[in-house]
Amino acid sequence: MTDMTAGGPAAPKSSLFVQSDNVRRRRQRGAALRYLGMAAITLVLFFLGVLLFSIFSRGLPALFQYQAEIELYYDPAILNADGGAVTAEEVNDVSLRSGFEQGLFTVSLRNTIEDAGIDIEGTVAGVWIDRAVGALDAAGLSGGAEAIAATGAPGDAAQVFGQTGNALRTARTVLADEAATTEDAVAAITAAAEALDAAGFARAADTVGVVADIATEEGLPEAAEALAESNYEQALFDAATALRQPAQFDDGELSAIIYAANRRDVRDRVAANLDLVGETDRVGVPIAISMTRYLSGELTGESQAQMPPGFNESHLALVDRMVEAGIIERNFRWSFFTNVYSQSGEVAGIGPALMGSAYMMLVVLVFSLIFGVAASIYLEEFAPKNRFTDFIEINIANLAAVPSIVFGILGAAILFGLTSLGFGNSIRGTALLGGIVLSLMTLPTIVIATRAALKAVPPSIRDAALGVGASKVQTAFHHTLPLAAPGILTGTIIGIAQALGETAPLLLIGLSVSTGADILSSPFTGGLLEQAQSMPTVVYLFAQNEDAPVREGLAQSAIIVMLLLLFALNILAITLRRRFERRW
Amino acid sequence: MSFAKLSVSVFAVAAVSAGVASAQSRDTISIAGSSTVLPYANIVAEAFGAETDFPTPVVEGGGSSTGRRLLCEGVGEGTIDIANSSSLMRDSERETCAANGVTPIEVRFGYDGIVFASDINGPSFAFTPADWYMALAAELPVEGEMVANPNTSWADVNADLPDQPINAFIPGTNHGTREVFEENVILAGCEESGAMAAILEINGGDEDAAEESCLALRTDGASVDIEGDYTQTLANLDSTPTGMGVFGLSFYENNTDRLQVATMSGITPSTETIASGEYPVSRPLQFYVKQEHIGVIPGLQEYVEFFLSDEIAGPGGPLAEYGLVPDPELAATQELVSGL
Repeated sequence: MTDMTAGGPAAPKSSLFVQSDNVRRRRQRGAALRYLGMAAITLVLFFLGVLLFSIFSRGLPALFQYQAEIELYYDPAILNADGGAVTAEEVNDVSLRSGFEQGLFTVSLRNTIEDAGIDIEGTVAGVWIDRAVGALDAAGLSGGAEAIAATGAPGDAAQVFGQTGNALRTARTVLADEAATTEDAVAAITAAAEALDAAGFARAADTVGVVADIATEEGLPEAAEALAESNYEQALFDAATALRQPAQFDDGELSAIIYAANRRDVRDRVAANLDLVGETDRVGVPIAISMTRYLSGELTGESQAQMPPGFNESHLALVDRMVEAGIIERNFRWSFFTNVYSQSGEVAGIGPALMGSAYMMLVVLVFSLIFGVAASIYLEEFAPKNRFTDFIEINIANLAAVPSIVFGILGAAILFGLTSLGFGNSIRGTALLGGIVLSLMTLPTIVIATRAALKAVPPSIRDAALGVGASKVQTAFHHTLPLAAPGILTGTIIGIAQALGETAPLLLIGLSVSTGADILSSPFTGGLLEQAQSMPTVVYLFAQNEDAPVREGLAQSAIIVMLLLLFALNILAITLRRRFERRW
Repeated sequence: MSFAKLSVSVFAVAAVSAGVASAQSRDTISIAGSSTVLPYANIVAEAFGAETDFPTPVVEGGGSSTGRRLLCEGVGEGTIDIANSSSLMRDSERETCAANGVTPIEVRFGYDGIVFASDINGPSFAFTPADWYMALAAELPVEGEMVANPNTSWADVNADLPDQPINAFIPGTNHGTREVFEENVILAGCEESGAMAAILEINGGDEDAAEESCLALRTDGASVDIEGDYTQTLANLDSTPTGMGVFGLSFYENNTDRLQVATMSGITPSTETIASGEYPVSRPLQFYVKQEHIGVIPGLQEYVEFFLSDEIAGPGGPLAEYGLVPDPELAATQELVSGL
């Protein structure tokens, strides 16, 4: 049709086979629009892709956890420090604070590692000896390994190297001192050379010995220059620093690899079954969360920028050996879905948050569906059309556009009102209050969707029902409403999906708590009136955590769970619409 | 119609369960306040829940001043029991508290070091408070008059510092950290650099005005106030690698793979140097307990004692491990709370 109007009277003399300028321009415009549309969609898909990639690439790995499988030994010496038989009272008396779990788990970890044939001290010492030898070699002090081996323990070698370094430093200060005589200088240099020789660096001793000759023949400044050319002093101090490290690797350093705090379950298990004392039990303990970044290959451990915070090379070497021995395993993190949020990323989870969000969605469903449908039916089927109903209609449309934070402030105001009335104490931070506030937010969406669905039912249905003698109420509830139900359901589900992701109002009414939301302990008794968490507020908590693996891993994992829930709800909405939708 | 029936029955279940629960009175401790104290409070609350038979206390963030405001709202189950705070209560707040019948007890449990850190791949810095004052002040006294701060690079401020543009991310005025930053860094730097004396000379000896002038920070973009928490500062450093951020010690210690710390007056910040007072920039961390709720809310007294015990707040405890600088006078505080 458009072709005819464009090609007909506008250009009467043109041929059908030759495009007129007009037609060409029109086609160009059409093509441009198509390309712009495609570009827009590509851009949107690109951003969606970037978003999903950044979430999934971080969130999915975080859903797996590294665990150390250790032989937990219920050590009588720790369970009852006084000796004698262990009783349930005593076990209950041991305080978490006294390092009971820490002790139990550290001893067990040590045993497990050693049973696997790993020499903890040796591994740690090896790392630092390598480091020291490297530093020595770089300065031309060859034979460092033998020198260290000759002194015995790394700590002794550190002392020797430190003294040697000091001798060199003395020589350097003497050479730099203008008041020093040549004899002083030669004595200091000789002492340094002897110290080097005694430490096992014969060649370096010779090099330094030559400096003594330079001092006598050419003068002190030249000797100072010659001494400065060799970098022995700094290398010796570096080596000494490295060699002092193995002695620092105590039980505390060892147990830093695992997370074993707040394990009251262990104590309860022992108290319930005293036969366990002296026995071993195989348990999985989470690896410290910042160490997981090394295990997953995110950090290589080669420089400070690649070192997991709080750890050093000795931990990494030990962890490497543990992986080789099969002590460390990577498992799916089921506990993420049941555990409560914790400051410690190793055990943090979203259990109560999922539960809290579910409760809130239930409240939203109940409140907004009942009130939303009732309001819509009244407005659509019964209300007279006058200025007042127009006013209400406009306001409902406006309400749908109100930013969610405003509903949070409204909720806080309601809460304040309730508190001054004397009840409301117990409602702050509960799923009930959260649900009510989110319902207010969802209500307009549902009213609008429901009214659209009711409008879509053809008048002939109503006319027919009224015609056979049904009352207005019967018409509405027996005929119109059932036919509009699929549309109402779809609107409701989309509204709920929206409410599920809403954060701002919840922050204002006490749902952003980080601990104490133990809603899982009693999900069916009074769950609605217990302190709750919600999914978006827990994502917010995760995203603020000081540990990078929580901030950049678990936060994304929680987002994935939320996205999947939203996805499921949307699929449900689409399916319902497809299945029950009627066309007239 | 089964749909409507379902809705009604769900509603009924909800109403019943609500009725059952509302009969209970509050048996959990309710805590709110500072985001700096929040991680410590979380650690203690989790351990308290695991260790004792009391339920895990409910901990919420919100900021120091919000926490103190909530605490002072009044007495009763609807109000919180403890306000975490990284700054001290103001006189006006104490008045509000008194007017509402609330007696807040100040409990200091440790110190937080404030460190200056930059991107790990950049050059390292060694500051003095004077450097910070010279870099961030809005106006500097030059030859008898105040001129707008001309410094654009750290090297302009102090020739020993790397030639890197001044891009400071400092805590916003809503932070407890800000006060310490102003007091111990900017004001100290103002005095140390001799600017204070110069300003006093210019304005004729008005000390209040001079102090105000010292604390007026430039607004030309070289210094950016961060209203959020340290993760936001870190994100800013990620996008501006030449930036310099202000962090808490614990945050730095948990992010050593991203950040390198600057020394202040030659001292490297660590729990040891802060506890000994060598490192100059630190602040006390405390919480305020509502005296009226002790004995009313079960476990409140126990929580406070648990928090302050040597095994928790002392050296080597979980809080120190997280980055808290233990209070050398912890024993005195334990004494204070034991008889509440």
